[in-house]
Amino acid sequence: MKKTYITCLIAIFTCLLFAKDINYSFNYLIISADKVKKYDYDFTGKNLNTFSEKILNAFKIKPTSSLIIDDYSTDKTLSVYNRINSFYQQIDKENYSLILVMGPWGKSNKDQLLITNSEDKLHYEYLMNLYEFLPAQNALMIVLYPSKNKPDFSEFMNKEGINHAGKHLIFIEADNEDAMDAIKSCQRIFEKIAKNGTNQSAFTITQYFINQASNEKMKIKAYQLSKANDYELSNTGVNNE
Amino acid sequence: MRKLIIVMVLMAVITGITAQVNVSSSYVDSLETEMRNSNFSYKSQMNLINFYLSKGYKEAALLNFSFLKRDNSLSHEDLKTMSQLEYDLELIEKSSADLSALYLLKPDLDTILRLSVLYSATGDKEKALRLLNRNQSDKHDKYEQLRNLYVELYNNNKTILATACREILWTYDYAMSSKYFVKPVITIISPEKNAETNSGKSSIVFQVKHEHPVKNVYINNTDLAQSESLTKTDKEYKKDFSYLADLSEGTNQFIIKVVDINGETQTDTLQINQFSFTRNLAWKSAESDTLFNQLKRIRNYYPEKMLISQKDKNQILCIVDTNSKLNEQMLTLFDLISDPLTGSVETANAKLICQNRAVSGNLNTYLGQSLLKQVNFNTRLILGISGRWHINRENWMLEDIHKNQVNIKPYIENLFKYASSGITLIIGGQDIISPVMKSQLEQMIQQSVNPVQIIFLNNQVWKNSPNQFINANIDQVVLSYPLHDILNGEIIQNNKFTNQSTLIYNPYYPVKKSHNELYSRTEQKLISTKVSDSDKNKILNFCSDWRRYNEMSNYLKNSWTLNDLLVRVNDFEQRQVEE
Repeated sequence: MKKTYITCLIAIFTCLLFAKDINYSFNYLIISADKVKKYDYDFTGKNLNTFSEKILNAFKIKPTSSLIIDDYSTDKTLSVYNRINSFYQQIDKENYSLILVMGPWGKSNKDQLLITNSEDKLHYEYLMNLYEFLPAQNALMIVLYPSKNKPDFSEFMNKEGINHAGKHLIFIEADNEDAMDAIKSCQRIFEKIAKNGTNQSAFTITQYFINQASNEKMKIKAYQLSKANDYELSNTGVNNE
Repeated sequence: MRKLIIVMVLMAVITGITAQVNVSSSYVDSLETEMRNSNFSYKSQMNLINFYLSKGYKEAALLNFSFLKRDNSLSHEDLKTMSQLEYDLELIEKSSADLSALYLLKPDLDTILRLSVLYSATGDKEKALRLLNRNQSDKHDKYEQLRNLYVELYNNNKTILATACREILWTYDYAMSSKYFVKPVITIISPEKNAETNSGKSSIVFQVKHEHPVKNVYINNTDLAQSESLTKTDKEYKKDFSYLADLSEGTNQFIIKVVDINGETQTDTLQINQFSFTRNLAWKSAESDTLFNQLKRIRNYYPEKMLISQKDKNQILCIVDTNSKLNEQMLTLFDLISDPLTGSVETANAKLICQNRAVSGNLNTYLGQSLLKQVNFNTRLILGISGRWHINRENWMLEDIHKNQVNIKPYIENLFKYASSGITLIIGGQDIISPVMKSQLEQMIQQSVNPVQIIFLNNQVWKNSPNQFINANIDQVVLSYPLHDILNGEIIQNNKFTNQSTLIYNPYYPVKKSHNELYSRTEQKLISTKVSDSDKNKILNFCSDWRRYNEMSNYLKNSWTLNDLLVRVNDFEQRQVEE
């Protein structure tokens, strides 16, 4: 009996000795499609900022970098590509990156495009490559689209199921054309993460998201793009700000 | 005056060259000053980088690029230059980060292709393929562009990236790659593979044919394509190459490797066995020295052709010793059987594998292949093997000089089958008194349809010194001795082995025979020419010695007169008195 106690004490002591908070830095990119007459989708400006705040609350860490793209007017000083590149340049291996792409998709010849008025067309290829190129070992990309105008992501067919930490990819199909049903569900999930999250790893955040999405009866497809070491989130429930 | 002008011109040239260096170094100084004065503006830093690029100092340019990138975001063109530099220097990680940034600024197919090569180089082939497949350009165009990139990388010696690019090309489109990456064709014209020669050189002739231009044609490490390029016919490049190769004793391997301009490689291997295995006179044995001295003495008095022993063209001799205690005696055994004066085996048919030759490679190739090829229904083989043995029922392992083991059993079994005219097997060395080997051999020879004799040597090869049989002073000079009579060992043989004994010839037999004949003819001539009795007796007494071949021959051929002969006899007698 004594031996068991001693063994337990040693084990606890060892755990305490090696347990340390890993500083986890976070960044996010939100891209929302442009408002085009043909499509009902309109989720920009204020709405997007609210969504962004919910994400911030969920992670409770001041992001090292963030970018919201919802304005594609050509009189902007920096093009979309330039803005995305600047975001990319600030990310390193230790970061946790979240990319949210929302809106309807169209086709130009063989190319799939997110509906925008930008000169720099946001192709499916470009956005997926952006995610591939991100140096962050742990990341989550959520692509949210209305069922009528969806992208073809069949290339990930053999990568279904999330089993490891790393780069995860979740496609969410909204029932309505304005995609608001799915957007609202998403926001609710982030609110829940904000309430419940303590010391969650990047991996568990994705898993939590998937579980909650299933509760919300969302149509989702989840894929494991690459594996990485799991980094602990120091989400202690206290806002770092 | 001329000299002075030449000196002045030389000085001017030297000054010019030095000045150029100074200008370069001072120009860098001025650019650096300009940078400091402009508070390290983007433009001033790019001026220095461009100067380095113009001079081809890639590393210096790259270093300054990284300084510039620290506080500035690079323009698309400058980022392109920087990532290209990193790509050229095969800096995989940096290059993939900067090329990714370049793509995000301005997506294009070329950058995607380069990135997929980089991912392939890091081992993430799956990601590389995703990038390629995700791009919507025509598959054929993508393949062609990637192939051109491969050619560029390969020809600029970017080994890591070229290999990665080649791998991804194969994975991306196997069918296209099979068409494109055609291997050159090598046809070896001569000699045959595993050819054998006694010569120290061999001419290797081969043909190379290929659809694409060939860059290198190596034979071992020599590039033949440097001096001789392939000529183009309508459909292909083709050339016959000839290479005179130096051969060392034993097995010589030649690897012919052809590399085309795309890095496609074909190799073929040719083995030439140089199995001269002649007697190396540096290998010494006291008995052989005595033997050679005796034979040399005989050769001093008698012409070689008169002394040469009877040869059997069908006899093959091979003596193997792997540094056993019997080493020196085995040498003498080889000498006795193969010497032109004492042996029945022709020198070209005698092989000696001992000292540095006694290595597993030679033993396996010679006993297992070469010797087996030589034996036929006429062959009478004498095979002597001594060394350290490790015997069990399945294997008769002989230790070579490096303690590697060679299984001799299958070789002997085969030789027993094919040497139809007879085999004399002489076995010696440690552990030889193995009842297993002995009983197996007994069984084998009883079953053999060919005459076989086996001599298991004891601690010594000889019963008595073999030199005692080669002696002019023995009473009854005999022509030859059966080898097994003078060997010290236990003999077993089958009933087919009757008159196949190997003979050792006594060179004094032809000497004695010739001497007797000359002596009797000299005596006859002295009588017929009515030489006085005193002179006759004196001459005959002098000629009774076996060494008087020349004197008697000269007298009998009338090259010498009687007086000449008498002078020689008197001179001899005079010297004897003095001694």
